[in-house]
Amino acid sequence: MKAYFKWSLYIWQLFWGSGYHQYLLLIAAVYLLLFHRKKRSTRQVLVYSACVLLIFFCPLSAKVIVFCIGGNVYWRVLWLLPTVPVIALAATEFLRSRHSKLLQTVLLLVCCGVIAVSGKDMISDGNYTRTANAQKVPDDIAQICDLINARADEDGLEDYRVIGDEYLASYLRVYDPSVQQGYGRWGRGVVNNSCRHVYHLMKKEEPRRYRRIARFAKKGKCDFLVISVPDDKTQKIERFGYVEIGMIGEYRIYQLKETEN
Amino acid sequence: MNNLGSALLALVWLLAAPALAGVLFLRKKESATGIECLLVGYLFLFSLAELLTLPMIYFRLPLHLLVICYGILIGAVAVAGAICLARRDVIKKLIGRPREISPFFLAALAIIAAQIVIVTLFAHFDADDALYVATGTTAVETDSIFRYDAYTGLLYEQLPRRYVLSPFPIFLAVISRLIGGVHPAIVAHTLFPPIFLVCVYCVVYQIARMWFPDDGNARGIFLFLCAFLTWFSAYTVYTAGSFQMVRLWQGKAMLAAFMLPLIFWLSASILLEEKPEHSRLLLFMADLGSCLLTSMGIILAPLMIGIFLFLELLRFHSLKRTALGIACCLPSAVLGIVYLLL
Repeated sequence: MKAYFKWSLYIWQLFWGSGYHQYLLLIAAVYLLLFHRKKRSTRQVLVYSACVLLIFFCPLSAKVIVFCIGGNVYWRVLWLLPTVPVIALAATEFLRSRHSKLLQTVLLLVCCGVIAVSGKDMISDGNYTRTANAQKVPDDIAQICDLINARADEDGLEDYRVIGDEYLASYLRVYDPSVQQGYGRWGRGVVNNSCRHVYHLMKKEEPRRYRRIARFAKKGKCDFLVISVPDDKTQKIERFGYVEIGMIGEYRIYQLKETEN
Repeated sequence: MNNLGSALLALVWLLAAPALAGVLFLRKKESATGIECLLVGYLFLFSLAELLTLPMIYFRLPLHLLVICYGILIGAVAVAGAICLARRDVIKKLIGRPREISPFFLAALAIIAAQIVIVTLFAHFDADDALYVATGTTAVETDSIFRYDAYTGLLYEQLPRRYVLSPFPIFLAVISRLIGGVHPAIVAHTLFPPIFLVCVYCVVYQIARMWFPDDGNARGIFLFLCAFLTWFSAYTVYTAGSFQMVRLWQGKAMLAAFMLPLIFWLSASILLEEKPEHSRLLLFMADLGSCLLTSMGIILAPLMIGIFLFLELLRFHSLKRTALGIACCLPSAVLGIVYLLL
């Protein structure tokens, strides 16, 4: 039981990370409790929040919830905590009791400053980027997929299997679902043992075993192999019948032609 | 279909149809607003999607059949709502009399508009799309529902038990078909975020209306602060605000940013009111809709409703009321048992 409580505490810290909004939540709750405790909104939101926290930290309820949803997503229980509404409610109650609009505006700006300092904005966190493709997947993935499709069309391939690293596996079928893959993200759905070998070999850091990757890719009936290969190692892949059809970013795209040694 | 046509169809299916469907559900309410109609319409959209999709997965029916059934039903309810709107003096009620708009409210609208522009024009790469969006693209490509593995494109050997009860990616595929075959990734990354973000702030506004019924100025401040707090929620990737701003097209983000606050508002305004303005049916639909969004909704939605039921019991000491509230969690209970048995 103690272990569950400690673990909940760890999840709590993980959830808030480098932010300080949890302290704003605490200040807001105390402010509401001290100055607006008779209001229905305050009673509603504070009693509700207390119940959520009780459920979150109570070892017994934590155990039941973890049994149902799994431990790795237990932090999602904190979505039940109305952090944003409580902070906003307290700040609004504080501001509305000031009768001058000018003072309200100044204090609102101060509140914004506190929120900004105690949190982290979405843009500076590097969340957004621009893409040239309308599907909004990484542009190199879109270019790789277009190249493979063009080559498959030329060669009259209808069903073809592509194999690459985790990054490729995550976005390729978002962009074009007609492409088949040897495995998906985290190696899920792996189609055969050879592809499983490729997945594990691809995950390994340099020096990569290019020969084994190409051999298992071919054995796993992969028509296209997408991999980052240094210039001096390309022949290790080509000797198994893979022919380089292009290079996009750091990736070389190989197509299997049945003319290997 | 050209971009303009698809955009218009998206507005019809994702804004007009749910808003009109919502009118039908709120036709008896004295002071229903357009925002309430839209939110209730979305509850209907999501719960109907769950009700139709699950049996179709079980019977291995093709996607186009689901699209036809879903389109007809939503269309019929929307038309019925439109008839209600025309017959009664509902338009006047929905719009209400023009009121003085608070400058804080305008500031809130400005910050929300900026957020809408950002989520529409910019991209955020999320590897979870490998399942959530690719399931939608695969469904459209193969005209099937959860028959092909989104990761590889090959037939599933066994259904993915964790995801099959919450087929939000199939909702994406259906909408993609309904709006003229727009690529599901475009629908997910460009159309869903701005429209869903509007819905999210509609919920926030409803909470503001509940807490500050007679103070438009306070509502404006509250809305502004909520939008601002959300914008500064990127301190970890776990917060609801972070999910809201970067991947609102995924079911779990919709649960965190839209459905849970919506259930909060509904629970507070239904369960904690002596004479609630809304029917408990809405809470039932919210619970069902949560199940569509993500498997997490199957437990988090009833957990939230359960807390409010406890508060209701403390306040009214009425077992009958509590029993009715528990009935609202029936979809979660049933699907939760199925989830554990699968």
